Amino acid sequence: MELKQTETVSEVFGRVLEDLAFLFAEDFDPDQSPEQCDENVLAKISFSGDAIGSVSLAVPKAMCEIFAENVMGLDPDDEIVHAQALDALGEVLNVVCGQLLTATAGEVPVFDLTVPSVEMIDRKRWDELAADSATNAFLVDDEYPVLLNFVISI
Amino acid sequence: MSLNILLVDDSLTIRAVMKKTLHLAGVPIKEIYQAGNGQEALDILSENWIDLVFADINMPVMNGVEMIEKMAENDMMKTIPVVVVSTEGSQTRIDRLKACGITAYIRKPFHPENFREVVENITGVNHGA
Repeated sequence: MELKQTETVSEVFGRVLEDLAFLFAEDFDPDQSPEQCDENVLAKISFSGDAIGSVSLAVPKAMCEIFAENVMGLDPDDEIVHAQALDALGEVLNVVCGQLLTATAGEVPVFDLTVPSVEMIDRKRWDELAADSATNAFLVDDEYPVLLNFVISI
Repeated sequence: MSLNILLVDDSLTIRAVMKKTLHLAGVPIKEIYQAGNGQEALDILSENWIDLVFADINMPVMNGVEMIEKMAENDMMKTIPVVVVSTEGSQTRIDRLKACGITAYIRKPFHPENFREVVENITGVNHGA
């Protein structure tokens, strides 16, 4: 049985993003995808244990560098910001995943998480993800569309 | 007393954030060593004097639980305090980790106060706000 967690996903993502990266997210209509959606990155973590599922985070490529910049507290021009942009996206997803699992399943169940995988995706894949009923869409920093897909089955 | 600290996490981003957070927390640091997984951490531990380990759980090659178990089997390493820093929110898992001998647990996302409190509890020294 697949569980829907729209409100929980919105609350957890907003809290983690603010706490970890000092960024603010608001709910967003994915049909209004801005132009920067043509070059995007998808990070995904799968989990197993007392329930199975996955959490995926799709963002414009430029958003990854903003994650790295804000999470590490560095200047945009710092070399490490560019070098660790995809790593930063994976770590944001890692924290979101851990917090989502506790928020939806509580503190008793135990889950094993995979290491985040990261890949570039095209506009077609972005649109498919946006149309998925398990996807929540956000606008981060008033500019960047972000898709968060959370699937949990018990 | 300044501490030799080992940071174990497969994310260089998080290692950088932990390093910065330790400085912000006012923890007295002699040297910071870094490892990307449990095996790299064991290699560093076998060759260097380390006072305190901060380690993630979910890592490739060798995860944090395996690393803690290996440390427990080694006379030179088994007394080194290990603080797990993870996204893990399962109290069941945290209790299991404590049964394995970890000293403390910090959940991501973390703040300097989390590190300061843990280090003060371990060293018994108040490092100030």
